[in-house]
Amino acid sequence: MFWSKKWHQSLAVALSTTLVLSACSSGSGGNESKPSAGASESTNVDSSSKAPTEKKVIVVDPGGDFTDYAPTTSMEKSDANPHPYNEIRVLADEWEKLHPEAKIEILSPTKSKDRKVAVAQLAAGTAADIIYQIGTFKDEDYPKGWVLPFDKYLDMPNPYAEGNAKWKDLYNESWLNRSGDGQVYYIPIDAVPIGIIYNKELFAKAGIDKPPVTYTEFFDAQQKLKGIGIASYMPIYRWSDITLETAVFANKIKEWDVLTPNGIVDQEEFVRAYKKGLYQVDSPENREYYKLKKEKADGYPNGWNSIDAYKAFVTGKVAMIEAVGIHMRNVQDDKERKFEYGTMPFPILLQEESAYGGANTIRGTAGYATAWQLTNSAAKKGTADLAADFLMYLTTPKNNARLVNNLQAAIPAANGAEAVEMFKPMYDQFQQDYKDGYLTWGAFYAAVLGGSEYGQAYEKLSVDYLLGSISLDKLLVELEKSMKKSVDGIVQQHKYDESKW
Amino acid sequence: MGYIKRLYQARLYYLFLLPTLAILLIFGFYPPLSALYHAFTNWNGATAEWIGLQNFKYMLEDSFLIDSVWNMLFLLIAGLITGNAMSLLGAAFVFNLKNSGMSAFFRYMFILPMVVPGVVVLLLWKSLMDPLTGLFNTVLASLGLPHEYGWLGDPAMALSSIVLIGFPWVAGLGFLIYLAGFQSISQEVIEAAKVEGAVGVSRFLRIDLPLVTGQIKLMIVLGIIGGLQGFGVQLVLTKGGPGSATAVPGWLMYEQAFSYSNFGYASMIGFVIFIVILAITFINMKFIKADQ
Repeated sequence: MFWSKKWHQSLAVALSTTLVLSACSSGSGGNESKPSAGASESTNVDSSSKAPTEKKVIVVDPGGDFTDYAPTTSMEKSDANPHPYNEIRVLADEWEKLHPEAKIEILSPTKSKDRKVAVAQLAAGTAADIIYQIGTFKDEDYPKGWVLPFDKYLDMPNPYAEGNAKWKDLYNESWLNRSGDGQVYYIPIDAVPIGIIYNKELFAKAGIDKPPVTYTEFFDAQQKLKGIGIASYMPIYRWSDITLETAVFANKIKEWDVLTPNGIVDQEEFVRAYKKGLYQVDSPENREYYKLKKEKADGYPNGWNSIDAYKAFVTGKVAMIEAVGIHMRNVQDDKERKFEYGTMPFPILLQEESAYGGANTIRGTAGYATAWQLTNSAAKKGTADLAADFLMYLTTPKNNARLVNNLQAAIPAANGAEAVEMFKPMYDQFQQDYKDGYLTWGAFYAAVLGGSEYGQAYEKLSVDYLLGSISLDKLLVELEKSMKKSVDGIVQQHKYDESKW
Repeated sequence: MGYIKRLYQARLYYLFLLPTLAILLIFGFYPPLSALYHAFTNWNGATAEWIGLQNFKYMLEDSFLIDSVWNMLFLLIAGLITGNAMSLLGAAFVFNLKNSGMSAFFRYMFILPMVVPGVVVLLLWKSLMDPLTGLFNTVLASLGLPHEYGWLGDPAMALSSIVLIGFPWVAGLGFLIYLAGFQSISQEVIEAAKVEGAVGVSRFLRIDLPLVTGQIKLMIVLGIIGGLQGFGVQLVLTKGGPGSATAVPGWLMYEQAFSYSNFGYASMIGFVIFIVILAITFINMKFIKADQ
């Protein structure tokens, strides 16, 4: 019954009709622009131009280090939407008027921040043309051709920045980290204000007159807070560790920073130092570093690994937390906070306090945070040049300030851009330290330089050490094993020319 | 020819099975076979070069992975005990309730928590165990007892804290399965046991428990398989920490793949877990069959 002659005939007619209709349809691809958009754009196009051609679509995934730059769904401020934001769309519209041949599509919510998603998209060549990723990943991605170098664009003038001779002049050269092949694979968008937020009332209760400046004063403050039964400090990430490690190894940086002397030890320089025995995991400096880390951790609350540091601070359970711009903004706006707060930079290590003290990291900002990359998708679609041009537009001092300041979470990266009032003291501190020759943020940080395998081991083992699960000797032995494996892997991956060392 | 004719006659059935088979092959069989191949490569998400047994060799030297096996065994054994003992007892109590209304009430109360998403439950327990603001430490403090426990943040008690999640461990699938097992016991058996004087605990140990042995074995097999590969708590709550105190092989496999892009190494870990689960399941099945 199901396969009767009538059924066969009906099926044949239906299939044939479908085939004919399919052949008659336009069968347009994904990139074809809407006819109405093309028609309206043609009024801006030179009258001598040909019929409107297909617009090049530049897809932007505007993630950020601490806050994304994606437009919010509404511009109405509310408890659920405390920071309405649309500036990137406004800037994109302005740029599109100057470039009628292109269209900017901004993804919201952002996706590439999630490394799992980014890897899948980059491997498939379907990532947005411009994406954000945490800086450490660029050294894994560029050898695979997933991200494009900016060097040729950085040497061009930025046509949107008045008087600019080279785009790279808008940035602190030493802060533009070069990858293993010597190229720059990102453009900075913002710089992160960084330091410590402290509870003024708890400080007063503990008898602390002024914010501590040196490590001695800091440990003293911790003891006073412990005396009144308050947890003194909590980390959110490991920013304070970075400043401490740089301070302890400051005297060695010049000895290692030889291949690309710029005040920062890059990965090849670090590998060279390790291979030549100039850097050793079990060294007096590293022992001093972990000793100071442990002393600082004595002020952490019990079980700190599972505590939300921010929440603990705003509810008055912890006196100090390390913080970056977004935490400072959130503390300012947080209705749960019932106390006065202040901000201060990380303490510095003096020569009197440690055999390795005397030189410290710039305070006030941790350098460039959000940085956007051009991907293999842009190369595949032929939109790389246009995407770079759009980034040039976004990064003039004036536009960079518009892009960043509306969110009140960071400082614009471009030199000459104004910061918001809340961050001006941090920015001023940074400028003073920069003049005084303080070391660049992250001038040396082994957990990153040692490669991902070492970084993993460091993350786990250093916490085990701070919590008392393993001794310092055991920590250094295990870290050395990981470092050796990790460095061998880096050398194999990058195929360094050791004769240059 | 006879075979082909039979095949042709049944063509409609095969046609309807085809989509399911295609999906099963693509999403059920291809990924593990692909992972099996990539376990012997240095696959990083983009390129994959054959490296033979190097990943396996690295597994044997990976102290984090070796330590995580002990964590996994601890959680597995504790989970089998807590997940089965309490739900078995709970089901036995509910089964033996004389008042049908109360029996129905407790049945619903024990089954209702199953509708709450697992992630929500985990986050709730994290909140209870917060060392500074959590209910546990707050209640202990109010009772004048020692209360500065780190719970999930203390390496000495993090694993035990994970075991504590879900206390009293009655509600869930185990309760349902055991209750069904008890309800399938024939009334004649129960009456006969009553006549013989086997009541209460005596009847439970001599009559009820042996008659739900099948369910117990099933739950143990499922528990072992889940325990060997599970890492939900680590993913949602601890990230294997503090330090590496709560890391399990499944979590390390996930971390290697998606945090460090070491897909080849992660595939090898997954492959080894698969072999272990297969072996244990095979042994269990033989054990169950022999018993039957």
